[in-house]
Amino acid sequence: MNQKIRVVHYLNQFFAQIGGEEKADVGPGFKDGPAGPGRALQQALGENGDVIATIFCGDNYFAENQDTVVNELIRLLAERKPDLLIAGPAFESGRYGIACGAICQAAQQRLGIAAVAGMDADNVGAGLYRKNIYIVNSGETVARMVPTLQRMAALGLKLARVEPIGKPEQEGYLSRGIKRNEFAAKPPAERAVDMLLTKLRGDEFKSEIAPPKFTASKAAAPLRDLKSAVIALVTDGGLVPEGNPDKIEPGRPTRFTTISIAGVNSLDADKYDAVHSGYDTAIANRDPNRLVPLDTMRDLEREGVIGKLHEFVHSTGGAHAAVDNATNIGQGIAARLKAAGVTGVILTST
Amino acid sequence: MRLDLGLIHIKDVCFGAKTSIAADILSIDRQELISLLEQEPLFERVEIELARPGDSCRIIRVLDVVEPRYRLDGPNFPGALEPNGLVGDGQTRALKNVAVIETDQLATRSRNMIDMCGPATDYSPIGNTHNVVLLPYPKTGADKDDYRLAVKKAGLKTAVYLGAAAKDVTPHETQVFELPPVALNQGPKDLPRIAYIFPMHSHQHPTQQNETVFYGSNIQGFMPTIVHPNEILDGALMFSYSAFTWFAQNHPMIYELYRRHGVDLWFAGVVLTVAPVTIAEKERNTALAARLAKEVLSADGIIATKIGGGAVDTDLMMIYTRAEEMGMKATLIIMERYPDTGITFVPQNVNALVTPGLTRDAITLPAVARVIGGDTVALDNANPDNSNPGITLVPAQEKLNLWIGDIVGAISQVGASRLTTYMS
Repeated sequence: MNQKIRVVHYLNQFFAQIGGEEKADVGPGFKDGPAGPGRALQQALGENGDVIATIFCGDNYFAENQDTVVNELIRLLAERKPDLLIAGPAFESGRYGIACGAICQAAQQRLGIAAVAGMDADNVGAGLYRKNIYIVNSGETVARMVPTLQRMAALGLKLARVEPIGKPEQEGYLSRGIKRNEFAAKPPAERAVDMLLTKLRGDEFKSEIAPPKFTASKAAAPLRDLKSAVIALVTDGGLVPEGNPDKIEPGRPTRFTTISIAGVNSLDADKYDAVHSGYDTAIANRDPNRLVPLDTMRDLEREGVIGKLHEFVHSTGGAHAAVDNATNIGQGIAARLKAAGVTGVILTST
Repeated sequence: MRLDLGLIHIKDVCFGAKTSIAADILSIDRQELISLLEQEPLFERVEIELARPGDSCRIIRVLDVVEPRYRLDGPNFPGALEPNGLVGDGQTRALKNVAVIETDQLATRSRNMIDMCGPATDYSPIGNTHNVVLLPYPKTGADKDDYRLAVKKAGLKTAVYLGAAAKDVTPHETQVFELPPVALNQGPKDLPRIAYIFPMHSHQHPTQQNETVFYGSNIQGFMPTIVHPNEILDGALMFSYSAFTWFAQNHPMIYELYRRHGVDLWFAGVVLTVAPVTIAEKERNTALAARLAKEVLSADGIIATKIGGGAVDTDLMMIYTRAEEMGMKATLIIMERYPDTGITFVPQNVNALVTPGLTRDAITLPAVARVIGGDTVALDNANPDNSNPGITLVPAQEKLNLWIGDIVGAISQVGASRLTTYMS
């Protein structure tokens, strides 16, 4: 017999029956037991769990004071020692959706408890939080309140009991974009032959790996005059100063390092390393100039071919970069170069 | 060309006075095998251990896995172990349910491991074999790379030494692998002709000068070429890294194409190639590989797999694109590594990918009574946000949280595994 799961329900001011839009600036608070849709939640939980309390906040107040509200709600939550937080469903209400996502993520991270939010797939909160928390797709309108709460309760109970979670379409949550393994009926070699034969027959088949979605970026116009250009050197080959002070990761990078080359004419092998899990770094370690061509660029600078070499090299490791992280790193480097007045960049990759 | 692979299904493995097979039990003269392996000057000493399916036992620091084989009609692992010669024809004996496991005693950070019991055995065939584990201890100061090659050679030596015990044993069954010369390899018109394009190595981690990958060659500068599939099955190929030689000997894609040859496809042949490092070489090799499949093997469709890291994804996509440009249909097997990274290099035209699984998916392995190969395991600290990269050494005997990809043979890039993936 499973122990009864202690559940706290988060609602906005409207669903917590404090009031409508005129009460949207009410601060965080709590009520004992279920409120409003909490009764349907209690019904969905049945004997498996109890809605011990309802916490709430006005949508506007939350939006304007997110950090302090989350802190206060977490304090209220912690006092009640729940196993599970259920938030919403918020349907298509954006402020409410963000609040549900934020409180679930905080409860999961800070209290280590299970959390499930509910909202529409197009709710702005879904976009912000679906990677980190389970969000049940509620659809747009309150008409789907009861079935949504049933799915949230079922998923929440599984999470609270640390049971295996099925696929998004089985459990009703929004895909988090996280791959998992599962056993297949046939080995890959057999599936590959099946897929190829199906393709040759001209029949429908489904690739097991979808291509990634990239946002296209527009290429800058070519430099009109190299002689006045400020050129920066950037690499994803993992150049670091000896000892790797910024702890650049050899694979799966999350950050970049900034190396001053002011007054440096050549990268001395004793002072720089290459840190990268995706290629043999022996040559780069022997002569880091072959990874980042500082020596040659200084020659070109001296000869007046280019105007000036930028005084910092930005570097990261390119192996197995997650697209999101790579995008952040790229934007971070680009912002610095732009602010420093750099007009051209040489990217050396490996 | 025809290969008769005589299978002897071994029921148990034990140490005994003489290396021999009787009543389907392989007995090993431990001292004789140790003496044979200790001829290698880089080894201080060699130990041999046995691990049986179901044992509460974990084998760590695994370098390579080889199935014991013996060729009655020619050299074994020519170029790598025995003098030059050819393989893939005649009679070969194979000890099924037995694997030679090489451990690398200098690879303290290796995470390759085999569990003989528990959940890992659901994922890999290698946890269900009787494993003969080699522990070659290097002499002080032995060069790490030379030592690694010596260990790989010791694995081949052991595989042949054990396989030779089956010389005079009547096989339980014989698998016949036969494909005629290209000019004569014609099937019925209604069966599509399928070729397999096989980059066997990625030079993003180059082979050593004296490394023996294909027929003893270090395959540096290797150009795409037609090989008979039997050569890969019969000891011409040992992998350099990222794959275990057992999966060349039991190559899942070649087995599958043979299995369906004449049934719902016609096996047109194999193009063997490597993934080079420069774009120019990649363009050349991938175009040539596709050309060989089209114009020499006359394939209607190709399947390509890879060995190596993410860099080879590029080569696979280029092979796929060239093949389709030439009018063939293509499918790839491509391993996934990180739950949130995806395969970043997938051109829009590529729509037929099969995954053998995701290496970075967590698995918990229970504590075991015995560990072979070392005392500690280098656990990867990488958590989803990678905020703490690096490794932690933990006692190997304890309960371990690690990745599916750390289990030897759980995910093979050439198409063996029981897995697929889904988006959660």
